[in-house]
Formats: sequence, C-alpha cells, structure tokens
Amino acid sequence: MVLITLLLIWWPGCGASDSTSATSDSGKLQILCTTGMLSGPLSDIVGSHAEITTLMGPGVDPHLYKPSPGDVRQISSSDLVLYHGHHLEGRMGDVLERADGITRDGRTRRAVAVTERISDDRLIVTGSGTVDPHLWMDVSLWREVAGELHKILAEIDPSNSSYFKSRSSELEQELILLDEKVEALLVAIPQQRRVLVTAHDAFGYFGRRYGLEVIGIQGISTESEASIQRVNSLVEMLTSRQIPAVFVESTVPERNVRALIEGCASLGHTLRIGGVLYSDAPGPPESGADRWKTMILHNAQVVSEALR
Amino acid sequence: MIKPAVEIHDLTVAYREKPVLWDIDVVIPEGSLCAIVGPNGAGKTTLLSSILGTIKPASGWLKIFDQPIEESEELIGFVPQRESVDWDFPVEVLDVVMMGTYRRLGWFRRPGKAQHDWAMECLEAVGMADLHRRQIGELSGGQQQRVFIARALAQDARLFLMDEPFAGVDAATEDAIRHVLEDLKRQGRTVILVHHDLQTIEQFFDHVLLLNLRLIASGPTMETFTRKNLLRTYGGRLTLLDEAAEAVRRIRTGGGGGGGS
Amino acid sequence: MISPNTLVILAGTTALGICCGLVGALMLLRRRALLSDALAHATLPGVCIAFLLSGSRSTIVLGVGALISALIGAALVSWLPRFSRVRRDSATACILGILFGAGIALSAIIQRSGPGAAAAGLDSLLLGRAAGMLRSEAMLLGGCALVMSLLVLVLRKELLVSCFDPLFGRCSGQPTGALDLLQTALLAGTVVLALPAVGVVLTAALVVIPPAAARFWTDRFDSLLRISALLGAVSGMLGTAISSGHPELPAGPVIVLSATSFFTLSLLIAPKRGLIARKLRSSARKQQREVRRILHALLLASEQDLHSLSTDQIVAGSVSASPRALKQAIIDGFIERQGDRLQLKPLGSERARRARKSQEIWREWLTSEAAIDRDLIDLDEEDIEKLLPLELVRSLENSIELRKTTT
Repeated sequence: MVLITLLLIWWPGCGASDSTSATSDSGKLQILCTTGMLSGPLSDIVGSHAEITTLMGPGVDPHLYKPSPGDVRQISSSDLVLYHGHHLEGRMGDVLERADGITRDGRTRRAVAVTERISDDRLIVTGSGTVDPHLWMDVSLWREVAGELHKILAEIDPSNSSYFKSRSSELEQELILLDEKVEALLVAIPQQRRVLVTAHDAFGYFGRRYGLEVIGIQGISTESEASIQRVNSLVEMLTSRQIPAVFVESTVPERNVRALIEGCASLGHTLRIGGVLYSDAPGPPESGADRWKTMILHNAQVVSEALR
Repeated sequence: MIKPAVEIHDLTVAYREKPVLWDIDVVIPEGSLCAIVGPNGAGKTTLLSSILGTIKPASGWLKIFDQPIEESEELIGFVPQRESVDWDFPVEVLDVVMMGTYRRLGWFRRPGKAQHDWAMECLEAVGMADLHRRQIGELSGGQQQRVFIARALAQDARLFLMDEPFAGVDAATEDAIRHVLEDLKRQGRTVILVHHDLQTIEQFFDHVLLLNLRLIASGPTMETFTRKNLLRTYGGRLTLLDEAAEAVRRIRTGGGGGGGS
Repeated sequence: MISPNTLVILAGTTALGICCGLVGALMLLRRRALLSDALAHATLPGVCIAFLLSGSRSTIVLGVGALISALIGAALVSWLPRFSRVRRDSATACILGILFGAGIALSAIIQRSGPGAAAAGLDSLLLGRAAGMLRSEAMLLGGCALVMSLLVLVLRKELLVSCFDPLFGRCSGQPTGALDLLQTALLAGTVVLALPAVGVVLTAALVVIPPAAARFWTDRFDSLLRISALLGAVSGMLGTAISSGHPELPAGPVIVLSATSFFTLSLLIAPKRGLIARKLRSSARKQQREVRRILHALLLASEQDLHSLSTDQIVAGSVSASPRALKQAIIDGFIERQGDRLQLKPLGSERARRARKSQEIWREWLTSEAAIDRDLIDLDEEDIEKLLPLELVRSLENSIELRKTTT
C-alpha cells in the first residue's frame, strides 16, 4: 500500500519531464510563450536562434487556463518567459510574476508581460476599469507589440542583434501589408451592417481599428456569465437593425449564440451563424488559422463574407 | 386435523457468520394466539422476520399456510417494535391506518370511501377513532403503538406478527391491545407475538414458543410453559453459546449444516 | 411585452422549480437531502468523459454522460454502506468528494488538450448559464415537470409508503427496490436538467430549500408535495424576473435566493409551525397559566373567608402574576378591581373551581400511569379532554371521588 502511494507520487515527476522539450543543453536561448499569438511573430523574428515553446495550444482558452506542475517546470527551465499580461492569463498570475528574477542555480530569468509595455493611451479600458487584453486583434497594434518583442530580444541576446533587427523589419513590412489587406476585406461591408456580435468581448481592438461596432454576449473574460438583459437587448438590436449574422468562437460554447438566433426567430428575423472565429487562440492545423497571421486573416474573411 | 399456519423446519439464520437462530423446528397451528418468549438476544425478532420473509435463512425452510415461503403471496399483518419511525413525517393517524388497505387496492387505484370506513373501523377497534386527524408526532407512546396495530388490522390478514406490542405502554393501550387479540382469536386468525411479561402468558396465550437461539420447547401453553422449560430457556446460557461457536466452526470447515430444500 | 428569450427562460426555470420541488420533497421525507448535492457533483466526471470520448459539445451527449455518472454515484452511495462499515451519510460525502475531484482532474486535462476544447463549456456547468437557455431545453424541462407530476399523482400511495415505512412496504408486497430506483433516477434526472440553468453548486439548494420551506405550512403528505412544487416554481419565476431586470445579477443564484427568502418567510410566519406563531402560542399559554394562578389564589382566599386580596399580594407574592395577566383576567370578566383590592366574580369562581378539578384529574392520571410525557405537564384544562378519552376521564373522576370519601 505504502509502495503504491510512493510510486504514484514519484511517477508523474518522471513522465512530465520528457513530455515537452526545453532543456538547456542545446545552448540556445529557451523562450516560453503563453499563446500562439505571441509565439507567431516571435518565431518570425528569432528564426533558429532560439527554441520557442508555446504553453497553450490551439483552442485553449487563456482566460481559464490553470498551469499544471509540468507547466511550472517548463517555466523554470526557460530563460525568457513571454506572456500577454493585463490579466489575459487570468489564472496564471503569480506563477508568471514569480518567474521573473534569479533562478536557484544563478541564472537570470526574465518574465515579461508584453502588452503591459504598450502605453495606456493605445489601450481600450472597459466601463468597470479593466483593460481589454485582446490587443492582437488589431494588426497595427500587434505590429507595435512585435516591436517590443524585438526590443526584449535585443536586451537578452545582444550577440544576435543585427539578425533580429533585419528579421524584425521584414516582419514589420509584412504586417503593414496584412493590416491593409484586412482593412480592404472589411471595408466592403455596408454601413448599416457593420455590427459584429460574438460570444464574448474579444474583438474590441478589431472593431476600433477596422470600424465595426463590436458586441460580446459575455463580458471581457469567458469567466463572466451572460445576463438575461444582455441577451434580450441584443435580440432586439439585431432584429431592428436586420443584422444577418452572428459569430461563434472556437473557445467559447455556442449555446448563448444559439439562444440569440432563437430569440430573433421568434421576432421574425432570421439570424444565422456567420462562421467560427478564432478569438483567444489559433485554430487547429486543419483550420488554416493555426498561426496568428492566418487567424486574423481568417476572421476578417469570415466576417466580411457573412455581413456583406 | 388442525392446519398449520406456520411450519418451520431446521431453520438456521446467521448474521455476519454468528448464528442467531439455530435449528428451529416448530409448527404453529392456525387460529392460535402464540407467544414467543426468551431472553434478550434469543433471536425472537429474527424469527418474526424470517416468518415475514425479510430475512433469508442460512439453511432450513418455512411454509406459510402450507405454501413455501418463497412462493407465498400471503398477506401478513406485521407490527414492529416502536423504534425508528419518523414521527415528524407529515402524515395523520388515519393516513397511516389506510396504508394497510393499499395492498388489496393494487396499483393505480386511489383509496375511496370503502377504505376510509374500514380504516375508521380498525381505529375504533383500538380506541383511537376520535384522534384520526392527529399528526402522528402528537401522540403518546401507547397511542402510536395502537395506530400501528390498527394498520395491521386494516390489512385484514390471516396471520399477524407483533414484536413486543405490550412493551412500555399505558394501561389504556394494554386494554385496547388485549381486546384486539381476543377479537382476532374469535375470528379464527393466527397471531404470533413476542412477549416479555412472563406473568401474563398463561392467561392470554394458548400456545407458547420458548426460544433461546434454539427452540427450547413449543406447544400448548398448559404443557409447555413449565418451570423446567423456563429454567432451560433463561438459564444455562453459557453452554448454548459454546455449542453455537462449535457449530459455526464446523460450517466454516465444510462439515455439517445443510438442511431442507 | 416580455422578450422571447425571457419567456423561454421563465418557462424553463418554472418547470425546473416544479421538478426540484417534487423530487426534493421525496428526498426530504426519506432523509436523503445530501444525496442531491452528491449527485450534482457526481455529474462532472460523466460530462468530461462524454466529451473526451465523443469530442462533441452537444448538450444531449454531455447530458447523457452527466446522467450516467450521477446514477453511478447513486449506486455507489447505496452500495458502500451495504458492503462495508461506512454509514450512509459518510458514504454520500465520500462519493461526492471522490467523483467531483475526479471530474475536476478530468476537466483540467481537457482544457489542456486543445483543438475545439470547450473548457469554458465545462466550466459553466459549475455555475450554470440560465441566460442562454434554448427552447429545446425549456421544452425538455416542461416535459419532465409533466412526467413527474403524473408519476406523483399516479403512484401517490406507493411513494408515501416508500418514504414513510419501507419495511412495511416490503411486507405488503411493494417492489421497494424498484421504487427506490425510480426516485433516485428522478433525482438524477432532475439534477442533470438543472445543470445548465443553475449549475452544480446551486442545484442541491434548489432541491432542498423549497420542500424545507413547504414543511412549515402543512402536516399532510399531499400538501407537502404540492406546496413544495409551488414554491419551487415561484422561486424560478421570481428569480428569472429579477435577474432579467438587472444585468449584474445572474439568474441561477437569484433563483436560489428567492427560494431562500421564501424559506425564511415560512420559518417566521407559518401559522402553526412558524417561529412567530409558536412564540405567540407559548406566551398566550403562559398568560393563561398566570390567570389561573390568580383565580386559584382568590378562590383559596374566599374559602378561608377572605373575599378579596390586594393587588400587591397578587402581583408580588407567591402568585407572581404579571400586570398584563391581571388586565386579561379583568377583561375576561373573572375578577373585578375595587380600589386596590381584587375580587372574584361568579364567572371567575366557576372557572377557578373547574381548573382545580382538572388539576386533580391530571394528577390522578399521572400517578396511576408509568409513562409520563414531559410536554403534557403544563396544559390548560381544556386539553385534558382532547388527549384522554371520555371514559378515562370519567373513571379518573370516580377514583378521585372514591379516595375523597374514604380518606
């Protein structure tokens, strides 16, 4: 009995360490990103000069993600930890903060809340005073974040600074083009239909940058619950303005969205689901939206087609 | 020939490997008023439960009105010891007595005037008719006992089993129960009850069963309720336990036991 | 004009309230209230496993998973005490903890596994999302409320016996096992249906509170079920109505709060069993005792040729009656005040004599009986006729007379 208990305690310790990579013996910089939205641009800048691990895979909701002991181990064996901040990784708060500093074996580990380096006047603040963390929805803003990533890398690894600099400027150009492309897609939507209704409030920056009215059924975090009043007012608004489509998100259950459709149907308005949007995480490989760039493009295409 | 109400052969009942009843062989004739007598822990309640069918024997068999107990559909009026009833249950005296009529009603039929009147008659028989709307928690101990006897009466059964109905009740209740027993005897029904008061056995009961793990003696009260038998029932307990422990050891090692079908 | 979504939610939560009220009343009577909490928590591993196996977020699939795991939990709860020395309430608490813990572990694994993972969907099971109730859910709830009401109507007597005295049920040929199973299945079904509306944590509250509140209003089985269902339904309606007017208040908790307020109200104002009623009754009784003492003192005095007593003697002395009792006695016409002295009136004298006679009969009865119930000691003389049959009262009167003549 005692033997079994000891085995059970010891075993997970063995298993976890080889389930993911990130051991420091390759000599390269070990960087851990929380989401794919960070690791996408980062890998473009860093190329093969570092090993990047992404903590949360496609479809994982960063608002609700709770770190496992395996995750904590990964964090401690990394040289640089990059996370969004502004409470996007709501349940990882102190684990990430504590990661910044001197490790037990004398290394310096940096943990940076990347979006917190963006000045406040560029951020959207909600009525209750919280900052909307979904900055990656605005390509131009995320271009600034990419710039911050470059700065951080230059500090950490000055030996490769020229490499990083050239890659970074390439990325900049790419992103300027992407921004224009997205804008072009969305400009096609007629004025009266420029309303984007989604499961939760993830598209604030998207709306601000590309000129759409954005409404989420739940609040900023998927932890909050939709209220009856919100659902009712949305049904009324969608019906009166004859908005043709609402959107489902990959990380949020569609039940609330379907409730809207039923409500509108009772009032005689046919509302349909315009498509799946990737809001808090990239999609799986087969979706074609498995990196940040493709994710944004996919969203723009889906929204544009549905509302046009 | 007197028909047997209950026939028991070679009955052994064990609880967690300890024998509670051992090798019981007895016939209780129909229409008798039979008392089961014995010290605490003698297995009296277990014997009633075996007749009722709620306890399965380790060996031996029972027949109720000539039918093996497994096949018997005979309705048996049972009055248990006044222990773990939920007195706070939202039910009135009449409701409890009406429960006795359910079996004959069958599924899906609601109790009607006939059942109501019959239940009131049974309450009259125990002297509780004017308290029929009382919630059961508001009754005294003896009154509660009478309600459960009325419920058994309402079942209109041929056979009644009662577990210490006279224990700790007031004189009025004692009177009421005595009247009920006399009525039942007059109607030719069989009543088997566990009784603790040795003084009153000879006046009431025509049959007696002396029990202490094994059957010490059974039969008409006159012949059976003798001083010698009583001594054997209540005295000499130590030897009985020794015998029982020895017998369990025998069963464990695969020998002995068996019994009827 | 009520919006269509609110209507759906109203219908659904009202039906849910009826289901919870009915099944909760049965559970309350069988003293299995904790089981509803255990089953609610036991649904979590089932939902997770259903998701892991099917990859589908459909409420039907997840609901079936929840139901199966709730039924397994129920089976374990009745199995454990039978095959071990664990008692039923400990078994219930254990199963609750074990299954819920397993569920949490599974949901953590799911949230990590990525593609299409509706970790958020599973999380919402904990607190419920009433605002997004779909028409199909409301219809299912309505159907269940109908079925349950029908069952309770048709199987009324079988359920009554099963709750009150299962041993008697077994002896009178009822399939107690099947009835037990039916009630447990109804509980499991109700719990699973309640999850999308109020969530795991609050389901138990909705099953336990309405019947507990209903118990204050009735002493009959049928009324208990009816009132419990009614309170459940009204809690659902009220909770939804309040929540739809306030965006910060989610429906689930407000429904439970409504139920709780009904409970508190019932606790206080219910006519027979409520706290206020009881307090009033006990102080009324106390006052009546004081009035009797006043009359008794005056009667004794008059038999010793003292035809009045001073007010101080009554209030302060061994009688120790309150001024309020004094006033009551005057109002009732038993005594009259003359200056600072009190005198018995004929009505009062008669009352005092009757009371004294009743006391004698009581004492006679108590001494001649072994079993004395504590709460019978301080009764008014009216009650003696209620509790003892007439012949007994007569015979006691006779024995008192007999003793008086022989001593």
